[in-house]
Amino acid sequence: MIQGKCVKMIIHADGTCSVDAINFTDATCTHATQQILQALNGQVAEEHLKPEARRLPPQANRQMEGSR
Amino acid sequence: MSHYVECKPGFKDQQALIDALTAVGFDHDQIEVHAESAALYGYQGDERPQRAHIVIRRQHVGQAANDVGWERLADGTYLAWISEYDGRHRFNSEMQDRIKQEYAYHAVSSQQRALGRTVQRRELENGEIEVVIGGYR
Repeated sequence: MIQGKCVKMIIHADGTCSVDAINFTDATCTHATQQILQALNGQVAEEHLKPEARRLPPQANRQMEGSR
Repeated sequence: MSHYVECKPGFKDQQALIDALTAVGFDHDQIEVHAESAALYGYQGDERPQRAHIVIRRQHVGQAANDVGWERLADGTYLAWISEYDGRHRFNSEMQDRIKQEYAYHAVSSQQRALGRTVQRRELENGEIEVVIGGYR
């Protein structure tokens, strides 16, 4: 059972990879997956942004509110 | 869950490629690493037009095999030089896929460990490798 933020990567038998950010509650999930894509230096075949990815991390939210 | 990506890895990390070749059964001393590309030779000792920076000589590949190599291109990626013969024998598509799998694991695990994250690996029954990266704040 996965608890807390993590990234789960499945490396398929043909060498292609599926990367899934789990339990992230804000846009840091995109940063986490992008880091891994950078290591893989790969061509992205498919990408899904889930609703949480549009939420800014708390600090960024505070900064945005502060600048209003 | 929040972000899902599928991708096809490309060889760019030299150490991860060496680690992948070791993981599929080659000894470290069978893997030559050259700063400048070296000539590849065929099974009769004939010099081939291809050159490579990472080389496994034919005696380590198999009987009647040719040298196998990976040439580092101008953009930093590696191009595999595998003869048609070797592509039907030891370096068949199954072996090449295993190298890709191991490369992906080693490239990601070394990057993530350097960032202070935990990396857990599990072999699945269907031949896939599951990697769980933790330690995010």
